[in-house]
Amino acid sequence: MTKKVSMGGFSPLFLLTIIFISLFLVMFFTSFGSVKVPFDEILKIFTKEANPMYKTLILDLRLPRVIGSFLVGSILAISGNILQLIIQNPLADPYIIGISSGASFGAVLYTAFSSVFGITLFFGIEFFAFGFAMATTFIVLYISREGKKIPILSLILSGVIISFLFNSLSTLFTVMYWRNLIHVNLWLMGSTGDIGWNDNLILFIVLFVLISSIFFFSKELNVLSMGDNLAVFSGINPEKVKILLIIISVLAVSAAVAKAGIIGFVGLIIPHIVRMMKGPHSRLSSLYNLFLGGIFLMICDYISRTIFAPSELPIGVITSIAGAPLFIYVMKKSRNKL
Amino acid sequence: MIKIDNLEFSYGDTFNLKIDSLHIKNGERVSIIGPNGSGKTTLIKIISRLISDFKGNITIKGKNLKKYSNKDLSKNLAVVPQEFNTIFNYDVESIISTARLPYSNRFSFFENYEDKRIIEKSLKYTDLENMKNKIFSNLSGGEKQRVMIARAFSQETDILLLDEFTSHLDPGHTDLLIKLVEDFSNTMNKTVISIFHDINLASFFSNRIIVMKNGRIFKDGTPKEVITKDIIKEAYNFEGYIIEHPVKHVPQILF
Repeated sequence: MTKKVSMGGFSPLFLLTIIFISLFLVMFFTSFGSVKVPFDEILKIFTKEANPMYKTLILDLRLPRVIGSFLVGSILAISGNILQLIIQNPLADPYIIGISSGASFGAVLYTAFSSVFGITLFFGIEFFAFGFAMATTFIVLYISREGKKIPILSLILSGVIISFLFNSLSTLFTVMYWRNLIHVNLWLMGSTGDIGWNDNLILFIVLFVLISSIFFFSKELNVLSMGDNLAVFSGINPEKVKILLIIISVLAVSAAVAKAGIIGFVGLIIPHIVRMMKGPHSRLSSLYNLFLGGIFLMICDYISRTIFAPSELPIGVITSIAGAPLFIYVMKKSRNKL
Repeated sequence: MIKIDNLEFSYGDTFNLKIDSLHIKNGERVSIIGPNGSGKTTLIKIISRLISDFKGNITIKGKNLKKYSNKDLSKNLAVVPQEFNTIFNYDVESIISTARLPYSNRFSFFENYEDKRIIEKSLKYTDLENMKNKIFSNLSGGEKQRVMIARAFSQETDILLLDEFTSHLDPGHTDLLIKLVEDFSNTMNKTVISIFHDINLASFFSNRIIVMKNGRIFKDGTPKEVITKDIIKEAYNFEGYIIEHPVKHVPQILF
């Protein structure tokens, strides 16, 4: 029962394996879809003999989507891990402090403005989702403050309350203008289908910032996950580190939500599985989260676009259907080893 | 080493802590006793900076407590909490290595040889070497506290604050841990401030006892001066019988 978890759980072989699997799956999922592209055509894509139709299909449609899925999955898994450690709750997900409800409200509001009231807005639906996701987080942080401190319990409670508030507002709008707003629901269930190269660039930058901040703050994050008091005893100012890391991960998740909608479960199970396998040390587990989150979402994306091809299922449906049983299995198996 | 003057702190309408003057010298082993709600833990929390909105003047090694950063303070002062547990599966070594955080550099990504040596030393001192890879949350209460003491030793501070660190332990573990701290503080000339519920332990562990009552210092002196029938009666409202410890020759109290 006391399985050995060595310091940091570093195993180069495992890391290399998941990197290799990620690369292989990028190719594999680019090849398979409603139109199957032979493997050798993919390999030829950057040479002159490439078939121009395949070239457009792959470079403009499929590859950005597969890579986008990977990046979104990585961001959700890493942020999920950060928030689980900070909140000291292995069952938290990156949406726990209200991001998803804020993003949906932003999307609903945008659609209501543009299609019901006919107001042309300068910014797109993505911007609204992103802005409101950030706004809810700041409201939650503001409410949960007690003096100079942000107690974890009041952070979670404020998150729940603000989520309820914004979800109700979204429902209110949807009920009032359901004809115009029904397609927002589909957007909210998530899809990586609209991700293009420009989006990927943004997501890549976000992921890079996220990974770098984890590298610089991993020791602090780990002490923080052992409790605020121990953090103070170890010479850390818990509030500073908490706020910084929460804001960085919320920013990252909001960007992912703006690009791909609300995709549940990735940020909940992947960090959990990584911790089970490799222990809670945040620096290395972020690398594992990066690849495993990416792999998981690429697989879900593949299922979502092929299972009822040519029509697509929202990816959030797949992650939940695949994620819930997986999570129950993992939870039952690891009762006392969260 | 630690000077507290005109300290005042209150929360709610019911509790207020008021200490006019309390000076603790280098190398002293001081115990704080007193009934529940007398302000012992609050005092420790203030010194260890878990509470910072107090009034008055506290200096540690000649420098005002409010001028310390958390990092600098933790190079001078280590705390063993009453009880500690983790939600995540950290191994013993990871818990102990947090003690080296005040000395670490943000840009050093690899283990520091010096840190490793100090951690090894504490593990050896507390006889935890064969447990260093075990999961902390699976350990028994006594083992957990031993780890927390090893952690405090690794912090290499001049001052140790112990908050009822033996109150959940059986006599065997209590004896072991008390001796560990006693030995450590004697050989390294550490200043130790500890809270005790057990008056007898306080009596033979320390050379100075502070009795607190209603947020005030009620008595301050050597065990012989403080552990008397009258003082205990007044502080705890409990009628005990005082005898002398057969070996240590300090007062002990019986029910």
